[in-house]
Amino acid sequence: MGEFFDFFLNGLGLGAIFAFIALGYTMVYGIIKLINFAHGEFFMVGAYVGYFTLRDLDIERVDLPQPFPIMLDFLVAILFAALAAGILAVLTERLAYRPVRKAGRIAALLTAVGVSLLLQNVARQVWTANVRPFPDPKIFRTLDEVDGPAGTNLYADRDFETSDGDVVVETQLVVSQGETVDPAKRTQLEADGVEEVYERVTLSPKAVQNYVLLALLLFAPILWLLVKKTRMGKAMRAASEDADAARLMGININLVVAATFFIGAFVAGIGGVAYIATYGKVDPMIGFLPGLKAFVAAVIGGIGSIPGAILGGLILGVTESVLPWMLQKMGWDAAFAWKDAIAFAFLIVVLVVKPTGILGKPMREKV
Amino acid sequence: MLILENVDVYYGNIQALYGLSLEVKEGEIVTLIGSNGAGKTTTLRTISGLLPARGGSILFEGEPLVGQRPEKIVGRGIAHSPEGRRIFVGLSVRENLEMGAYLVRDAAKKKERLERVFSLFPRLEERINQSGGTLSGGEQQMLAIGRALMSRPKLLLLDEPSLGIAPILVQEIFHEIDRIRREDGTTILLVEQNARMALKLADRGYVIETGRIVHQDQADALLDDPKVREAYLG
Repeated sequence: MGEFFDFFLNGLGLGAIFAFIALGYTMVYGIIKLINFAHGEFFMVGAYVGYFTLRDLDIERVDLPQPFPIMLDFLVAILFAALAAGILAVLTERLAYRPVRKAGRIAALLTAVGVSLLLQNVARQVWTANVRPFPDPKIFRTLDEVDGPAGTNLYADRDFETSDGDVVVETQLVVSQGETVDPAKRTQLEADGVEEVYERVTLSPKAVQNYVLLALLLFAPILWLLVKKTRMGKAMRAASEDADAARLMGININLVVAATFFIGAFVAGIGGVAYIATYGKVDPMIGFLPGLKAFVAAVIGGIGSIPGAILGGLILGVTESVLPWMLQKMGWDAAFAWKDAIAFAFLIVVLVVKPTGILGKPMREKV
Repeated sequence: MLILENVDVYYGNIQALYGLSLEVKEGEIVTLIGSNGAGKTTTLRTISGLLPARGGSILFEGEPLVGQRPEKIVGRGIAHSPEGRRIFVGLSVRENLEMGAYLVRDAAKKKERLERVFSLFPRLEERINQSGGTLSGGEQQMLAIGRALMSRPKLLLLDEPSLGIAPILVQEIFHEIDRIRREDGTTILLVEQNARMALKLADRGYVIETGRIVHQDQADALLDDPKVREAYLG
């Protein structure tokens, strides 16, 4: 039972990431009936921006007791990631989707596929195709603060001159765990140009998943209120039901569509940081499979439905985690290798049983 | 107040309105009658900016409307209660009405208008928290008209308010339309297939056939016109 619970929680954490991405799919679909295949790339770009924020900005330096610097570090990374993804989505909508909005759904869909490939390849050029490890949050110390045997490995960033004459920053292990830091060691480090050392805080995947789930639990009601109670949210719901009628009310559809893209991608950007923290890596292709699965989640939940996207994400995550585990228990050793196939097979089953998804409304023809 | 002159409208390459001209004066109820597909709805959709006019001009209070977006035209004082009601079925009655006052930022004004709508259609107040989709056809029509009134329009465009509604409710709705003109001074352009009811209510009427105005007169004169009687009053 304990093992089942582990896989179940693991699935929920994974599902929360799917849900974060699925929300944008479903909101955009609700309003302009476009499957925005570039949505996974908004997520990917958000993940990169989060990565660079965590790696380079050293927000943990803020002078507060632990764990606040680390929390602040993540919050700022999430905010930057979400904003970057949101802005990218608004630009994409303006430059690529709006010009073809009247040209039919196939044209829009192909444009979305094109944007997706474009962003993947631009990311590969700009950020290289290398898989980059997740930058663990750091706890900084000046040399004076370190005394006696070190509790953990301590690192320092140092400038190195390459053979081309470029100066690059490299991270170096300067004190191993258990090594004693005494005046002699300190002098030696100072001679090497080290004034400050830091320890890396490695978060366990389990802890990260719990935080991701917590973030979804906190964020979902905010989003719900936004859509349910605010003027823009009501305009979104009105426009998604009947764009012409909404325009007759004085609603500027272009503005509503842009806001929808922004919010959808903003949420995906949060998911981007959640993803790299959970999986410990970022690369230009991370938008592809999670994006596709989030789309599946949105369809399972009922595309166009916001609670459906959250529910669909969680269900897909749990299915992908628990079902292979059960199959493995039943004697199929390779079940985990098949988890993606299982996820998509699950989609097919849901669509056969309930074509509109779990919370989807039956399609009605407009007269 | 509203003057259409030689307006041409196309759906793709198919022409729907041919040099259509009509005028609505301040304080009037003018009706546009005609059979299915004659271009009544097209005319209203063109006025409110949902369809572009390719030729001719539309003036509202002396200013051109052609080429303006619908959301701007509402702000100018023209509200459109569209054919088929087109209420937001997933939104509550209150939210539907609030959408009608989307451009109004003043909460006190919104409240005052909401009360006005409820005084015209008390049934809506009883259903205030129900979602639009749960209302009967007649109630939905009341909601569509009420929603249009929330912008406090100078000119109200009504498209087929009698469509698919029980006769007793049609009577009630037409009675309230008359009140809207009398008590609020709202000018009304009414499109109807139910020509008799429309002409009884209106001051003047236009008859439209295949995208052209073929006849216009005082409403009571049209009611007595043998050709109109034969074609539209059965």
